[in-house]
Amino acid sequence: MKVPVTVITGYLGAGKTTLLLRIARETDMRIAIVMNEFGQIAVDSKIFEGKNIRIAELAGGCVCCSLSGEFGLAVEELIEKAKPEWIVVETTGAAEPGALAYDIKENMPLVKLDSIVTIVDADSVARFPSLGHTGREQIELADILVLNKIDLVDKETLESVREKIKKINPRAIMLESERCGIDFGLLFGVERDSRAKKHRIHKIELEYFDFVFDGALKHDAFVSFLESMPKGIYRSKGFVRTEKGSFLMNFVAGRYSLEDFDCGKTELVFIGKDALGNKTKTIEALDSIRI
Amino acid sequence: MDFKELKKPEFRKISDYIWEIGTDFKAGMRVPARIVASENLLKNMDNQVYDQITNVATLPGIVDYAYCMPDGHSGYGFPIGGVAAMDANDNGVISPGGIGFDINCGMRLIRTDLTFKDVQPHLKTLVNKLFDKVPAGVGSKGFVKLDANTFRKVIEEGAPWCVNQGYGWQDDLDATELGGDDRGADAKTVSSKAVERGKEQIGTLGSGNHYLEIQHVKPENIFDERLAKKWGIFPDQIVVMFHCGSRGFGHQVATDYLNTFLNVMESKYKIKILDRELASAPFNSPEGQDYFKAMKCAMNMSFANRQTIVHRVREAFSEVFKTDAEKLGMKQVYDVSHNRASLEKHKVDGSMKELVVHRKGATAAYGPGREELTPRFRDDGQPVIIGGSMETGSYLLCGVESGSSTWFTTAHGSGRTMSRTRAKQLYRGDELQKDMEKRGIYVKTTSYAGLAEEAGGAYKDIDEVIESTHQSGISKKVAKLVPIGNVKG
Repeated sequence: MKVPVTVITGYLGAGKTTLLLRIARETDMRIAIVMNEFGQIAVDSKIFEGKNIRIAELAGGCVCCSLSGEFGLAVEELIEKAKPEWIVVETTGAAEPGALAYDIKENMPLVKLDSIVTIVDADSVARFPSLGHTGREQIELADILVLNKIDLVDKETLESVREKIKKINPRAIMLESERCGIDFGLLFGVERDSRAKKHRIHKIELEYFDFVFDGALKHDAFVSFLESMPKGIYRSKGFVRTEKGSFLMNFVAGRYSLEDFDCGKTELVFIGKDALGNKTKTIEALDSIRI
Repeated sequence: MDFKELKKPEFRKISDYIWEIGTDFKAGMRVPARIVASENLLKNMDNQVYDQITNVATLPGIVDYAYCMPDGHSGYGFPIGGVAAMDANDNGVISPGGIGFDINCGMRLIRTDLTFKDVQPHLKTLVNKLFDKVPAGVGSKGFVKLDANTFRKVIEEGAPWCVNQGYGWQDDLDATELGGDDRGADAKTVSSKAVERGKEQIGTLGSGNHYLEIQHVKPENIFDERLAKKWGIFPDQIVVMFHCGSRGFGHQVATDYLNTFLNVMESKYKIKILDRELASAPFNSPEGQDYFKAMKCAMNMSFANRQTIVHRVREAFSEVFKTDAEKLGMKQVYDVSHNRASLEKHKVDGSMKELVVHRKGATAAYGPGREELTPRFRDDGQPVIIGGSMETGSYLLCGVESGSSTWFTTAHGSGRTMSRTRAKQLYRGDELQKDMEKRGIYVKTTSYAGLAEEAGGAYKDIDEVIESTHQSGISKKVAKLVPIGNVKG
C-alpha cells in the first residue's frame, strides 16, 4: 500500500512549525515528519544518519527527519527504515509546492499525495496588499487552507482576507485557527489525536459520522456519490466493496481516490464542519445504492 | 497561473526595446518601471511581472527606474530579471527578495585549445567523468570536507582561499568578478545553521537549473572577432560552462535575514511595503549592514564553490585527454554572478551617488573604464556569460558604455515561460534525454523529473532575449555557444 503524504506549506512565520510540533506531540499514529531542520522537535533524541536522510525517533512513535539527499531517494529510505503510516513534509517558506506535489504524484511509486495544506497568516495577508509569487502559488495549490492567527485581526479584516484567499482558490477547504489548532481528523481522516485532549488546546471541532455495511455498493453509483459529496463534508475515508472489487477510498476537498485493497465490508467515515447536518442525506444516498 | 485580477499596465514606448510603466499605475510608486524587451517578449510576460516590478518601484530610496530585463519572469518578491538601485545615503533599503535565495548564483566559462573534432569521440567518457567529479543533486556533498571553522574562513576569503589550497590558478582570480572575493564579508553575521548547511557543499552543482556543459563555438556564431580572439575564443573550439551558486548556505542566509527584516521593518523602521516577499531594512541600519556582510559571505561561498568545480573540471579533462590542463589551454574566460547586491558609484541627475544595486537574475555588465573591473578587462568592458536552456545554447557578451542606463546590467539567461510543474506535465525527462542525444547533445542527470523542468520549450527564445539586450545598448554580442554535453544537477 502506498504511504500517504501530506505537504505543508506556508509563508515564513505562518505557523508551519507550530503545526508540526502539534502533530508530533499529539497524534498516536506512526507519522514521519520531513522537516527543514528538526532541532526544535528532536532535542535529546537518537539520530540515525542515513544515506539520504537523518532520522530522529520521537517519543510516541513519530519520527522526524531532514533531507541530506534527493527527496525521492530520501523518502524511499525513510519508508524502509521507519515504516511510517503517514508522511508529513514541511516545505520551506520560500518553496513553490507545485513541483514537489508533481514529483510525489508522478515519480514516487511508494507514496501518494494525500493533500496540500497551506497555512496562511491572516494578519500578514491583511497588512500586505500583494500576495507575492510564492505565497500565491501556495494558496492556489492548497486542498486545505488554514487561516491562522485570526486572533490578530478584527472581524471585517478577517472577512476581506477570506474573500481574497477564496478568489485565488475557491476549491479548498478553509479552516480558521489561532495557533494552528485544527482537528487532525481533517489531515489524517481518523480521530487519532487522543493525546490532544490532555493538552487542552483550543480548536475548532469537526463533526464525524460512520457508515458501515456488510454488503457491497453499486460501483458507478458510488463514484457519482463521491463526485457530488455535500460541501459540509471535507474528508471521508475508509473501505468500500463494490461489484468491481474492494477498495481503500480517500476523499479530501473534492478529490478522491479508490485503491485496490482487501476488505470484508464497507466502512466509511465522514468528517466536516457540518458533517452531522448532512448525515441523514448521506446515509440515505448510500443505502439507495446497496446491492 | 491565472492572474486575471492583476491589472495590465499601459506601456509608454521609449524605444523599440524599452517600455515604461508610469508612477500613476500604482499608489506608492516612487519611480517609473522600465522593461527592456522586444515587443514580443514584453507581450508574453505575465501580469505578475508587471505587478512585481511596480512593487519594487515603491521601495524606499529607489532612484531613476525599477528595471526588468528581457528574460524577466515572476519570482520571490522581485521578478527574476529585476534590477533596482537604492541611494545608500538617503534612506535606501536592501532587500533579500531583490537578490534571491541562491546568492551569487552565477556562471563560469573555461576555454580550451581543443576543437570539436578532438572532443567528439570522447564526449560520453568526458561527460561521465565530469558527472563523477562534480557532485550534482539536491543534497550532494563535495570532495572538500571542511569543519565549521575552516568554512568560516572560506566564506570570508572566497575563491583566493581555494587557489591557495591548490584548487585552481592565480590567473583564474584575475578573470573572476571581484577577484572572487567580495570584500567585507563577516562570518559573525552568519547563523550556525547556515554554516552547517554549507560546509559540505563546496564543489557541488546542486539541483534545479544548475548544470555543467561542454559547448561548441560554431564558426558562424562568433559576432565580435576582436574580443573573441582577445578572450581566447576561436572557431570550432570546445569550451566548458557551468551554472551554480551558494547552495543551501545562501538559502539559509536569505531565510534568516528575511525573518529578521520582517520583525523590524515596520515596527522599528516604519517601512511600508506592498508584498512581504519584499521585506527590507535600511541599508545603513545594523540589520541591513549585517545582511550585506552575510550576503558577501554567501557571495564568497559561491565563488569558492565554482573555483573548486573548475579544479575538478580540469582534472576530468586531463584524465580523459591524458594531458595537463595547462597544456590543454584551460584558462578561465570569466566568472559572473547574477544574484547579488553591490555598493557602486553611479551618476544620478548629474551627481555621483553611492547606490545599493540589486541584481536578481540579472548580470553586471560593466563597460570600459569601470572601477569594478579587474585590470585585464578595464579597456574593453567585462565578459558577460549568459546561460541559455540546456537545449538551445548560451552566449558570451561584453559590457558597453551605454550600459550605464541600467546601472551596467544585462540579462542572465533565457527566462522561464512556464512553471516547473507545468514543464513536468509537458515533458518527460527520459524521452528528452533520448531526443537530445539524437541531436548530438549527451546528457547525464541525477533526476529525470528535474531534467523535464529544464526542457528548452519551458524557456523563452534565448536569441530574442540577447537581441533585446544588444539592440537596447545594455551589452553587445561576442559569441554564441551551443551545448554538446551536459551534466544536469
